Amino acid sequence: MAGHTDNYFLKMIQNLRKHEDVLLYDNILNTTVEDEKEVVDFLNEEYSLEALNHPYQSPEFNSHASLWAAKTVYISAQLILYRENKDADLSTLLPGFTSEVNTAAVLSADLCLRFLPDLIIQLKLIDSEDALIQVLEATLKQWHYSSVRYTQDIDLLDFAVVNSDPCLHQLYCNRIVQQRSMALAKHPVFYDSIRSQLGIYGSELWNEFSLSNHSS
Amino acid sequence: MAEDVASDINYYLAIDETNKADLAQIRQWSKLKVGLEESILWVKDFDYAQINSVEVKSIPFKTLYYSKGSKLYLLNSQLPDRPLPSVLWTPIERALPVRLPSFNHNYFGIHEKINIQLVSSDVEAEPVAMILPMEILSTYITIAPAVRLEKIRWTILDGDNAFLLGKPLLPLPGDTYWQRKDLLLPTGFDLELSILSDVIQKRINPGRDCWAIWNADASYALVPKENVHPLSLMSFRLSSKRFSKDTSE
Repeated sequence: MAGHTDNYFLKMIQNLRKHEDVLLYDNILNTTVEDEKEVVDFLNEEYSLEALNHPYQSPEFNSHASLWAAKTVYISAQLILYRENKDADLSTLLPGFTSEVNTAAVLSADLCLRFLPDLIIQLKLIDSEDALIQVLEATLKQWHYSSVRYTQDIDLLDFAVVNSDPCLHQLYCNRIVQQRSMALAKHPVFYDSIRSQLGIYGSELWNEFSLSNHSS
Repeated sequence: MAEDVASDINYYLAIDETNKADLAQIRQWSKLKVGLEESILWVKDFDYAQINSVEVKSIPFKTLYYSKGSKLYLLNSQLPDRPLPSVLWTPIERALPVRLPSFNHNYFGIHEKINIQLVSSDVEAEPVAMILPMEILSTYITIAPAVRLEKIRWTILDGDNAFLLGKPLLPLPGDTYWQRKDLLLPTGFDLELSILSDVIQKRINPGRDCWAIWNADASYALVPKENVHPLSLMSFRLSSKRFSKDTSE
């Protein structure tokens, strides 16, 4: 049971999910297989809770994507706090996602990736020219569902996965409206849906959006 | 200014005491004085206009006099009729007191009861609540945008029906209600005696901790406010799952 109590990876992810705080215990960049299994189990539970809020048919939990995302967030947080590695090591420490990116992967990875924009903002405050920023921004470019709040060049984003699944599309619209992300709301992928969702209550629910519709 | 010669003449009115109720119409002239001599009621201090007015002329069974020296002359007569009455004069207002009738027209018996009824109303009111079958809600809510659910609070009424509260309501068919304080009245209806709404509210919901949902037949149901929760897809799925489990047991 020693591995259980010393599972800092799990503790960090749990704390992140439950209190939205990053709590690091030591500079430990390596995680064991057992630790990872516990993290996946925890994220699976979290996912099944969140799936209750998914419209249409919620996809199955993708453990591979969620573990990859949890690791990315964990290691990024470590790198922000204790930087002992060279910039060249970044790509080995933070590998890209190699499997297919589908709806299940997007939603499973989002459990942890949604905290990445805040980490980047913190990092920018510490050192705005850090090489890590570019690496993380590239990640968010691929997983843009997790970075609705984070300003990006929308034209470079790939919306093929979002378009293919009504559940993800609806969730994406919800998040755009919730975060009041005007740039994304104007994107053709979402514009019609959001407009019809707000309907005649546009001025009540999101005044800026309905105002911009009248002016254009 | 010359003295008014006519007002020098003192006019007197005599009437039998049993007919004194007929003096009611001249009681308003507060200058008049009244005195009682045995069974005859004397009234004095009329001026010329008053003694010739309709009010005096319409009093039946009266005798009018004017005085000259210590004698009284019948009006329009040159012959003295009798001496001046020696009576104690009092103002007419005190001599003829007003007694109010004992019946109060504004009195409503405290034992009488009022039926509370709802009547159709022309006043337009925005609906803030609705009751609809769970099946209709469940088909909509799985595809609903979250922004529409955010402002709605809900509860399950009797297993089959959901009660939604909040603006804007969901675009679903159902019975809608408008709000007067904590009373939720069916749209198109109002209390027949809407002035009583505060009284009714205090009576049925003194703590203001319930919503009173009214039916058109004036029956109502109380829903505790603490049981009305924010609506979300998760809330709906968990509640309907738990409810179907409860009923199957």
